[in-house]
Amino acid sequence: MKKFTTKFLAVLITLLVITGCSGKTTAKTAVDPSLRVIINAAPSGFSPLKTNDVASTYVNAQIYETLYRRSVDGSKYVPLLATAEPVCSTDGLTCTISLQKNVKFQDGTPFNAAAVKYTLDKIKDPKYGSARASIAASIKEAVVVDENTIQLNLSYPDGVLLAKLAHTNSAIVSPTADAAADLMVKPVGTGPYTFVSYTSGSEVKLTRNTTYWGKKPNIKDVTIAIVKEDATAISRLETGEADFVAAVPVQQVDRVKALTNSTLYTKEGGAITYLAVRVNSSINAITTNLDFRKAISYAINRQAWVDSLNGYGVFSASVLGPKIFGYTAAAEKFGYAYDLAKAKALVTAGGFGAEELVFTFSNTSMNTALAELIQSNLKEAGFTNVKLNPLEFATYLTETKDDKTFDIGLFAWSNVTGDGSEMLEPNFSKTGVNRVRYNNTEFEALVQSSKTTLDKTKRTEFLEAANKMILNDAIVVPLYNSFLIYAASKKVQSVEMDPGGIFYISDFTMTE
Amino acid sequence: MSNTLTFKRENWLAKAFQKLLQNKLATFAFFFLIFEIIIIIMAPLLVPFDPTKTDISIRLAPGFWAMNSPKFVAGHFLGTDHLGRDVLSRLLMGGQISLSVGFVATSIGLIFGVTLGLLAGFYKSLDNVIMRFMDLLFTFPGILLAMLIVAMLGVSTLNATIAISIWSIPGFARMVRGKVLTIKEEDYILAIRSIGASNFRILFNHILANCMPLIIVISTMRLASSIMSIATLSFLGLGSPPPNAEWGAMIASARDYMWQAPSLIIIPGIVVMITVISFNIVGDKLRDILDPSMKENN
Repeated sequence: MKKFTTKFLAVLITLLVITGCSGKTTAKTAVDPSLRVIINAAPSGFSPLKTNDVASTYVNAQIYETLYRRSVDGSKYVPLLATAEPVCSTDGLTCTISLQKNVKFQDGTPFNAAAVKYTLDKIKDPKYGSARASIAASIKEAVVVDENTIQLNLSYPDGVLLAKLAHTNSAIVSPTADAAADLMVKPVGTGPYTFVSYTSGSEVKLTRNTTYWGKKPNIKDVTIAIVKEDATAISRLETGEADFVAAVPVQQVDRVKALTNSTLYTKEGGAITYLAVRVNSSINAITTNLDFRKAISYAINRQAWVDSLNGYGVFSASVLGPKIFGYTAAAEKFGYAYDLAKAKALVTAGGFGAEELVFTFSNTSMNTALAELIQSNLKEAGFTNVKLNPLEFATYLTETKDDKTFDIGLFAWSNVTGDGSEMLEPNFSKTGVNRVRYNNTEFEALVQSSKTTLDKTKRTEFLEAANKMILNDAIVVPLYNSFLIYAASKKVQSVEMDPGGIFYISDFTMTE
Repeated sequence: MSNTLTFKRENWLAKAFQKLLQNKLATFAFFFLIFEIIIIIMAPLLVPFDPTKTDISIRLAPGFWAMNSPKFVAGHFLGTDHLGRDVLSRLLMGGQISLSVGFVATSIGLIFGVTLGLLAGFYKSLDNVIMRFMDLLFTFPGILLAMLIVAMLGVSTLNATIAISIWSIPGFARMVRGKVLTIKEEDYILAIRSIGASNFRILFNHILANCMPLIIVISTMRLASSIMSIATLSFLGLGSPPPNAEWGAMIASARDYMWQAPSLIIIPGIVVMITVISFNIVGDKLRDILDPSMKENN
């Protein structure tokens, strides 16, 4: 025992000496601060035009820039690569945008009206494979007026043009770089950070763009590590192996609060998590039956889940959450609130009990818990054959796009622009990805009108009607509106995130 | 002739069992396992709640150790998990998955492994083919091989069982082959052959019978590692899919609540540990008893 104690002490002292020394040396040699970020899923690629998942956006927002950017409080759009708000003709069909001068892409290509036109043309081009072609849907033609002015000829007056040009999926790409190589692996933008390397599924390395046109960012090197294990991510923050965790799950909040070296940030965001029933091209054709879908809506006790989030989530029965343009208080009454008796009655009347349903979701611990809860809710209502199908995030994104792959699914949408059309069109309209395969001409018309109208009151009316339609058709069961919860080491200051959940590392500063 | 043989065999098993009971630890482990298996088989009758029924209003309630706490909910003896499901019910129903996967995977591994081992040891022409294939399986670390198989077939309890059984095969095959190589050179095999017994009869009636002690020992040990394996696979999300209450899956989903409710990890962890250790103790003792070199001393 005595021997052991001596040995133990010896080891301890050695360790102390080693750590003590290394601590001193790093403090002396560090000149430029470097930031280690943790995100919880692997990016699917580095082209802002071809990716629309949150993990890719986290990275691409550092490399590329948009014409406008949503302010961190979400209240307005501020010019970024543009110099001022678009100047539009009285009929709203031609808009002129003046651009920043003396801006260069990271590969040396000058940023100009031709580059903007190139980007918008690519977004429109169905062959290019843009993740969000609807962004350019209203743009008939982009015309280069001169080096620093672009004119957009629209096919209809576009109420959300500014919001769309501020969307990370409309970031301007370097035409030469896009022609020379695949941006998905070799990104080139005008942003404050340049891409260094990506170790697949593990980490992305970025470094300060030395030729950046704007304010030089304080932080030089950035390592964005992909850590799928929530508890591990927080442990890294605790031990100082990470400086910023982009998404902290509710279960870890208490733990982060207790950390002395870190700060927890919360912000009411625009992200909604919802359960969707695929109406067409599902595995089980029973989902086309409205009573069947209604039974699902009635069966889910959403308030109970929100209560378990300890205040870090808001319940809303509306597809367009309280922070989204197009939300009305009346929307809380739409759809079918939790009513177990009604659900049971519908299940018995329709004989739905034994129908097999494939329930797809991406396999984070939070989603798995939610899916298990929903499965249990459905079981109480009489649905005895709900099969859980947890998928890894990238697989989930592609598989849910294909025909006949699921019946019900868990989805989330962080609305980058904060506009209701930007929720309804990409998710439920034929012109968007439409994972639920909703096919309703009346709904399409409403969504189109909400986009082509400039008047805000009218737009709200259209969005409200579309919202009501989709809820009454029981396609969507809104589950909760999440908070943005993120954490950073106390060494990092001015940590900001916009309501869409996007952060810009160039905003951050660091002290040793 | 056959009478004498049968008599001898019974004698051998009974004797082994008697010896096992002479060791206190092994006796305890053995009866614990019997008790556990009975309880788990009867679990559907015993569980107080439906193991997948959620009640989120009573989530993370503590168990009997905090009976006076206001969060304690009567009836939930071991508390509730993050969705308000009863931990005791999940533990018992989860045991059905863990143990049945353990038994089924070991049995499949045993049937294929022993057959291949017998053939490889007995027929020289087959030896190279079979054993090189077994070596190929051996080159993968077990859990990696299982993960590969599950990744190819998809996540389900059945696929996890298949994965674990495939991974058990080479172990059985190699041990049995070694044993067969020594037995087939014995004089009594020569004697049986000289009175005209067929290869089949020699292989299954005589060689296999003499391999039995060895097979029992490996099976017991293998059971322990199969239960460990299904728990590991479920922990990694590749075993029994949610909402099944497999022990490893219970530990995995409890990780996020480690700081609020450590019992959610500790309870299934202890159950896995005791079960695996018990199988290992019984297996270890059986090896001591059944090892031929020790038998001669008695």
